[in-house]
Amino acid sequence: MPWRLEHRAIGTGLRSCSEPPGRDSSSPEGRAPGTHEEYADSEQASFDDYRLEDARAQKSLNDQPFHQWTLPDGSPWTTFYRCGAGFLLRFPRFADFHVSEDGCDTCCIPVPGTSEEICHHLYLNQVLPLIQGRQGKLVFHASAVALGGRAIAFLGASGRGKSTLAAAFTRAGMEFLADDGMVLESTEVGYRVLPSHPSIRLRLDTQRALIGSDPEDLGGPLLAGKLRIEAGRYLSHCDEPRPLFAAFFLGEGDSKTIDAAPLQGAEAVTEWVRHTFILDFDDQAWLALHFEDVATLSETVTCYRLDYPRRFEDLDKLRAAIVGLATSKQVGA
Amino acid sequence: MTSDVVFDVPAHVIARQIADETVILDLETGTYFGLDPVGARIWELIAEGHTPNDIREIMVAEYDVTADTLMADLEKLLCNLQDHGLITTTEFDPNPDAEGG
Repeated sequence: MPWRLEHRAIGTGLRSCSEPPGRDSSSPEGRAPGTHEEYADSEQASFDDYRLEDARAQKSLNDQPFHQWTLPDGSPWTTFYRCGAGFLLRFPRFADFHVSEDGCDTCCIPVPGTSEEICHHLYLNQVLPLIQGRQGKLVFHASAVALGGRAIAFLGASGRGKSTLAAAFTRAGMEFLADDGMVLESTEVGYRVLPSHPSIRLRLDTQRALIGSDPEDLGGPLLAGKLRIEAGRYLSHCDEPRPLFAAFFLGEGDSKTIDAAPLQGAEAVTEWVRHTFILDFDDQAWLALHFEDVATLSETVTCYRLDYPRRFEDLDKLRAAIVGLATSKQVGA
Repeated sequence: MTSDVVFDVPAHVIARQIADETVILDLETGTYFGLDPVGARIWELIAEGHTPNDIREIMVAEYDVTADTLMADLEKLLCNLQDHGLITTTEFDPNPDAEGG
């Protein structure tokens, strides 16, 4: 039997995130206590659980950030600093968020001119997923949709099409569970997706292609070229947890056809890690626990690497291929 | 690589078998490593405290490979693991319970 030993370094998955990840988070507002007891036990931070202080200019800092998310042009979007035992998350020109060591206390100090709405957006999209991760939740840069009583997830860096796919499925009659920040909860029978904030952020061209209304009709803030569309008239949101049974890691769009391949073992683990919201990269106890979680996740959830040409007119075909893969667990879209 | 050593896995290195592969995480650097099924078997033997000689004999018995080919590949893998700080070596003590001196 021919054989060869292989040993490959598969990257510093924990430090590879250079794009501003998405947002958001946890339990739907207004849930009746006791309606879903198991879910009620897992209620997390609410969507506005932070203090908003008076606006002031951002002070220059002597320390170097220990981590940074950058925009496509290389400019910093979020810089991570240690601040005493806690953390400072700086969004240059917008706001500073001070987060306590345990992630249970957060305050926002906006830069003069930054609206409360923008602060809330930053909190939902960037800060809350990090806080939830710090509190021990499994939070991924992903969107998720409900499919036949279960959930499928789309993971990828910013701009890979997560929100577009979530919106496309929703416009085809299904419901979305999460957009950008997907929170998973471990149960005795696997992992389930918790409903996030009931909104999806779409680029204007995507919004026009999938919804067709003028942005003014949809409300919501426009930030970084994306419009937040609340669930309701155009998009249906699933407000109950759903077991996760398939995950698609989105490629860069280089493929000329719909191209899917199973993702297993070490590669699957690193992909899950790569798309995790992590606040403190040096907390080894946390990293060890997280490693166990993602290893189990990669064994229990069917994973695919998926790439496809980014054409709005192909979305129906793509959606059908994804459903076929997810339900048959066969490759070959 | 001498044959009278055993290997230790440092405390900052954790591993998990997934399907027939092994994933290793170096907590100090946040770097992940993957071992294919054959590498995963060697990692298992390393963790059990076998010497390179033990590993060679076990692997030759389990796989359709010559001892020479095996040793060349084994040396390469062990050096690679050492270079990345994923294993360290200590002298093999054939009688660890004996009184010293």
